[in-house]
Amino acid sequence: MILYSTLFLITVLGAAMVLFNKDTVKAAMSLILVMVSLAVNFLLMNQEFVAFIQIIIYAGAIMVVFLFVVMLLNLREREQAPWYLRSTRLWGGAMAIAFFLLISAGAFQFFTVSGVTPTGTLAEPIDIISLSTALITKWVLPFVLTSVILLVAVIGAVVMARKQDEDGNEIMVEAD
Amino acid sequence: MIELLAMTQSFQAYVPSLNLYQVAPFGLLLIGALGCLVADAISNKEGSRRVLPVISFAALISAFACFLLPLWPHNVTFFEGFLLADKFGVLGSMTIILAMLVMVVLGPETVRRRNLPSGEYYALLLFAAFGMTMLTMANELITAFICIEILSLSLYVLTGIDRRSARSTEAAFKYLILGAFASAFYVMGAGFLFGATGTTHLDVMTKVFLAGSRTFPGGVVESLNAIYIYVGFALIFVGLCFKLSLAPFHMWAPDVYEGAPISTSMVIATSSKVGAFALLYHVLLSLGFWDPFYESSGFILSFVAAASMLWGNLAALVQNNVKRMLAFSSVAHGGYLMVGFAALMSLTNSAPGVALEDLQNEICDSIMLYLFGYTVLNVLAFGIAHYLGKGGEGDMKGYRGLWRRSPVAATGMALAMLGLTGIPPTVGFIGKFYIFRHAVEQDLLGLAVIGVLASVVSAFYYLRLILTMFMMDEEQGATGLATTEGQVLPFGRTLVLGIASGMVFLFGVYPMIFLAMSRF
Amino acid sequence: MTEMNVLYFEGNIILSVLLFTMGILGLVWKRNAIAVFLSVELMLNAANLLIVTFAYRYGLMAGPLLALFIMTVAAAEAGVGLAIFIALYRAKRNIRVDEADVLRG
Repeated sequence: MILYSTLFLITVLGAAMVLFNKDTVKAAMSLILVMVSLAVNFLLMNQEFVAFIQIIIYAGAIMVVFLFVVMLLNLREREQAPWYLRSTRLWGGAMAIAFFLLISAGAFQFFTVSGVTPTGTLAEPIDIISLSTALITKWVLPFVLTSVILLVAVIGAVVMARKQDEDGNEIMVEAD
Repeated sequence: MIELLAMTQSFQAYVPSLNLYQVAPFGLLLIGALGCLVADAISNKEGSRRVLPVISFAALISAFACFLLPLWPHNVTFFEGFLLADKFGVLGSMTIILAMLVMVVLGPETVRRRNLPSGEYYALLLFAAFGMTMLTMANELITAFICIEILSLSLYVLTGIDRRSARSTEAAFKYLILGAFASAFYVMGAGFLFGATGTTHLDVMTKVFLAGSRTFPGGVVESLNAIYIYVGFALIFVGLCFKLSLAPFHMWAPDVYEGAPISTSMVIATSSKVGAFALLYHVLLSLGFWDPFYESSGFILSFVAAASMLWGNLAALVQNNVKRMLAFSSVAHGGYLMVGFAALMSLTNSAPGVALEDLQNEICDSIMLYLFGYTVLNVLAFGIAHYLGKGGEGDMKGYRGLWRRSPVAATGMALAMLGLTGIPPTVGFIGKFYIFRHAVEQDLLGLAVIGVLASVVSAFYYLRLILTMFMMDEEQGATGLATTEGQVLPFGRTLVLGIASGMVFLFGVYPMIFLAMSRF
Repeated sequence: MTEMNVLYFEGNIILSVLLFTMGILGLVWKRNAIAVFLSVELMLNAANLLIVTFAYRYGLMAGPLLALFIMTVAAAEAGVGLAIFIALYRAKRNIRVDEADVLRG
């Protein structure tokens, strides 16, 4: 009960920080906090597969790309805020401690909560083997479609972001 | 190890049940897209510009041919229940492919004019066609989501592909932000429906709604949670209204249509809407089996229809830019179509002896006919605007005295404008006639009256363009017309636009031909 | 143990809706384009949480799979979105949503 309420509060606070932060980098880091706490939430619900892919794909890939772009374009806005909002070390330390407590609490709970859902019985077994079998048998169409969308995303990203000279030719190697 | 063996065996037993014939058209579009990328990689710029339109054209034509073959199971789900082959799916896909064919025909000129990367342009075009056609046949909410995203991502990039134009890049950015917003709404709605019914497949959902309750393993029966269903539908509806640029969610349309290259605007106006309307149709049909929903949905659909018709037409009156005017006109036409959907969900009256399903089929036929006519007319309008080059894209002043410069183009544009207004004997008239007749039959008199009034208002701005073309004098230094350099077929563009003009009359006088194609 | 499960279920529904509305607020309110996109990601995360919660409640295998698909699509969208931001930035040297006024809103 206590763990769950803390988790709830941390998630909402993290989302609030995403909204109210002037600095884009801090907003992105707050979103990472939200994603990690959601992953812990998934662990509490016995969905370990979703928790892992949440951390790997969302927090680990998408947000890293966001931060790359923000750093690359130097999009940070500098606005003066009061000292308790400005001191990075304080907040960085607090966030790190929050991360650690979250993840360890979630992992601890994960090994002790029983696998019984509120309805009493599981309609289908949700383990990694049945999930992967389903992914290549019944759910093969969306699976193949995700490969198509990733290809479209790669083509689109390259077309939009590459450097071009006046004629529209790609600049592969910049002249010295 | 034993589990691995069991998995392999279950997969081998599984393969024959995938219906490979029905997924052939989608596979052909994908192969075409990949072929474009490969061909672009191995040839130089001039070579690609010559070869790629041919490859795209071939892929689209073969996919179209697949839809004409009588291999489609009637109203049956295939591919493990993820795709549904019904009238809307097959006819909708054919309509989509026709518009994409015109985009390919206009392609070489667009690529040359704006110096676009050929390979990516045609590949994204085919990926968008793939997403749209699969969307019309999607039976499952998240597969539909992935298809929406495939088509949206391709269209975002096709909007912004002209890197030299800040206006295009900005239009792509606006389109992306609002499109992503809409997708998030849609997914949330799908989540609520998943929670309410326990599934995302629309045919299974229909069974749950018919039964009115959910049965769990163990025999426990639980009634459906009404709030989740209403909230879920509301969120999905908002998401789809964004994609369909219906009022009050159409803010992005004028800016995006204005900034995007004309051929992309044409596809956004026609094909992407066909796909989203197909999804809306399937969702409404499934939810309609739940009685509380059926009784209350007519109101929200009528509201959106009325808002789109009024807002779209009134805003188009004051536009000076052709593309913005066409954007608001497409908002209004979305409104006319929604009248058809409102009639679909308000079926109370039917002639004695006519079953309710037949009435549903009739309304579906009318909606399909209207969509097809709307696509043909818009293709004609955008195609001629494209033909006029710079002068056609901007202010209406570029159209002054077009009658003298190119009588053929002026006639075609006039035909498109008359058709969009809904003047007999064009297909625009017959489409509106059927839809408003159904609305009146189902006691939606207010909506029909608004529709007719809105059409009258729309005549003002459509006819204004016709007057500009025929009556006014040319501006000093009017820009020249597009060239035929680099066309695949020497008279490809003229041929296609000529066929479109012919279709406007043919299906206006004999709409039965189109509807007859729907009996498979 | 059953009370805790139920708490997770109902609490998570509330949390998901709360995150979703905060995402909407962020999108409408923020002027920085990257922050707007972060709000969209927040909304998609909220939808993910909703789907996984329902899957936990009713024991449906579709839940984790749907979450996987939504996450992949979100990744693809983020990729293209950031590429368009980069292109826009290079074209205009600035990424404020309210200043994108070459096309009047």
